[in-house]
Amino acid sequence: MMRALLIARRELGASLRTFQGYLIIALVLAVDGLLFNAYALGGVSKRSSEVVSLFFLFSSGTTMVASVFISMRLLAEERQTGTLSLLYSSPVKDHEIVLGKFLGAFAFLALLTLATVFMPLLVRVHGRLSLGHIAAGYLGLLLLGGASLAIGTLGSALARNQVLAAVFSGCMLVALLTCWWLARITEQPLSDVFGALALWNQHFQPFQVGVVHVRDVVYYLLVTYVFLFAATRVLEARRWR
Amino acid sequence: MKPTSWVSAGYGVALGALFLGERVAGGGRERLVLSGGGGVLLGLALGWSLARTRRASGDWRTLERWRLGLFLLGALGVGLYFFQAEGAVRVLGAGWKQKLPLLRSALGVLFPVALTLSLLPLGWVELAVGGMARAPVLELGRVRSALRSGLGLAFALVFAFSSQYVATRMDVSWDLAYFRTARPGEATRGLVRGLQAPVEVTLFFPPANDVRQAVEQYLRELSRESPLLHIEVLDQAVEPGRARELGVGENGSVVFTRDARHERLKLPLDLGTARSALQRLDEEVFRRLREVSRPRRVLYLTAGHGERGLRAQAATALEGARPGLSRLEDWLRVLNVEVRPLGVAEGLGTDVPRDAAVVAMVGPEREPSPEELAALRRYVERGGRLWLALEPDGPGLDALLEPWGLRSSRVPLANEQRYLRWSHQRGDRAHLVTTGFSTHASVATLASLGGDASVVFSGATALEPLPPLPRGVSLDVAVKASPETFQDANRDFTPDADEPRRAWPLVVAWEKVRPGAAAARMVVMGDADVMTDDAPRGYGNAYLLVDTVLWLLGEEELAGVLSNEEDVPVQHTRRQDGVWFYSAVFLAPALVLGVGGLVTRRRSRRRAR
Repeated sequence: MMRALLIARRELGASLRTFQGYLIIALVLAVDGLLFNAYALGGVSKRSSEVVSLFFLFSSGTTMVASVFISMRLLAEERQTGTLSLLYSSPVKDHEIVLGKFLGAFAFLALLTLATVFMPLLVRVHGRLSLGHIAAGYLGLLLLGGASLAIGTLGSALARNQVLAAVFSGCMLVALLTCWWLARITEQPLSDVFGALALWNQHFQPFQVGVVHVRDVVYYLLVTYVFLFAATRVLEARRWR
Repeated sequence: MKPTSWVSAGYGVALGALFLGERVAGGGRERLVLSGGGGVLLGLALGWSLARTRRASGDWRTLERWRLGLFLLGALGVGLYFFQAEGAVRVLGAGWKQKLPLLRSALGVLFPVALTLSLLPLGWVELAVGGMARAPVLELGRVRSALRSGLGLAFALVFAFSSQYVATRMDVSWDLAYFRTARPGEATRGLVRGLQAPVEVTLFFPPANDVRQAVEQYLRELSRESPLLHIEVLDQAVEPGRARELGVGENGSVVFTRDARHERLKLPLDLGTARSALQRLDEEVFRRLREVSRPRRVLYLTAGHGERGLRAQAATALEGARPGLSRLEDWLRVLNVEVRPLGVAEGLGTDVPRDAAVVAMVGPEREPSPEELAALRRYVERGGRLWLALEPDGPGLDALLEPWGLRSSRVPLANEQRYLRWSHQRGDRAHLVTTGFSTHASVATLASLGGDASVVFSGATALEPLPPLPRGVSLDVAVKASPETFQDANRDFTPDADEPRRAWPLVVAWEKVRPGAAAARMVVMGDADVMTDDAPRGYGNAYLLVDTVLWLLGEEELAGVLSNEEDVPVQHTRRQDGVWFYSAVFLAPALVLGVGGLVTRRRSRRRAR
């Protein structure tokens, strides 16, 4: 675990030492800010909870997109630059590499997500809103971001370069997102399975309105676990491929 | 031997065909072809694999055994599916699902588990074998690793699905969205402090009820304000006689009693359903306490001159649309004030009724007749309470106001810096937002809230005090516009050089002392929309109206904030809008980029050293 934390620290440091890291945060802030002003606050006057709910709706989209961009470099960049062999030859296990990379990226994503917290707090100035609603929304964003990052980590482990990694991750994310649509066109019990698998529709909406369900927390943690496990298995596959 | 991945591919196709036949085709010939074909293909794959296992030797034999094992596991899954779908009815009878629910669940879970444990490792094994297609010898270690990897992933998936199933079944949730039982507000506390006679509050709730706890906690806190407020908690099922005496038929009631007078408040027993009622508890308690502790008063609303009525009016060929005053009526009901119309038919041409506590004229479009004005003048001179809300386009009521030292400028006001964004058009500049309150009792709550409460006036005109004031008259500019507000004489919402800017008086409280009798009082507002339902929620307009009514009624000691915990629409001024937009879209990203620039620059300097 210590080795995974060391890798995470190095990964986070790498993101924060370069200007690109700050550029990503600034871009996400600007996009979130634009969507917040144009759609959540814009138009007819809405109740505070509705404004914040819309903010989390848009933020969930930017979080997923940011996750793909953050995760695409995790392992694919190492493979592209040839430094993955160095990692393999170091006394670090495959699962420690994957976990360390993921934790570093997750810390960066958390920083990026929490940087937007002033927007819902602004709503609190002129509306009535509980901190619990904001906390629930951010818990949902972090869990969704974590799951998307894990999917991206698998994509990065599968791909030879960063662009392919982004494509793979995007495809997997879209596949999981469209499960809700499959759930609508299939019959039970398959529709239940697809419904439960859907990454956003069923599991994120409660967080958006300030409701925390244990089943949704467990879902995102399990998606994160399964995809990180799969990424570890893909790294291990070098032994038998 | 040579790898035969196509057999595994055929096995996969067989399972796919079975899935399509059973789950997509539904029935008929399609199902027969797909499921039948899939079954035959599955049988062939199994037979081929069995034959190869017998023929193979050494490491190849081990590999073929693993493959056969995985095939058989998949076939077992298919068998379990068909057994739970059709076979079980024949073996165990038609009602087996009801009789053996555990078996039903086990079969429902086991067949997908068997299929997952078969397909994933098989795929991994075939990948590993495919990688050695041209190798002279089979490296069994690599295949074993692949098999373990595939099994591990399959077990992880099974674990994930099982855990999610359990989590869904045993789900616990927390609703963290806005919810809080209102606490006693200053107005309600003041009302309790001013009680002259004992008031009993009886709660009818079952024991260990969440709503009861919330209401009881609220009332206990309130009862600390006065020993005359007694709280009693009863269970209607245990005390049916007492409940009947107070007119209560079921639990979930709060009864406020003074002498023979009862006022009831009904609340749901379930906390989830009661949440909205609990958010407005302070307002509801205030209303009932006031009803039992104070006499009902009458506010006459003048009619017949195009004034705003209680209900909204659609536009006609002769008159424009007019918003109603139903929200004001709600507030007045909370204050135990009854609203009645007053026109010529009700006697305004002769005199104001004797029971009038307040007479209000909201946004008249036509000048009242001299007789009506005379009646209003006489009413005020004998200590009456008059509430006037004027519009720039309406009459100035000069004949009434000028002798009392006041006049309406009848020029609309606008502000291009501090206004409420409503339609996102230039006309929004007429929606003035102000926090300029005096310390007068008619705006006591707003003054106490300071910058936290602002009032929105839509299409207001300025009022002008006319010194010297008549003897005994005092006049207070209770609300004034923000200093950059200009008189928009040409109505283009743009400040011109000849349009003066000033903190124009918007609300004036007028009082005339009468020796040995109650003073005459009048409140004049330079806008009628500030009182209507069109006024935005979430701003201090409600406090302006309530405090004005209380001052006119002579009950200004009851002014104060009602603790309403309801969610409100987010409305902000043009200036706030700008602050929000620039801080979210430009300032925050610029700060991040600035920090990034500093960090990376410092780092490159260190490197240079």
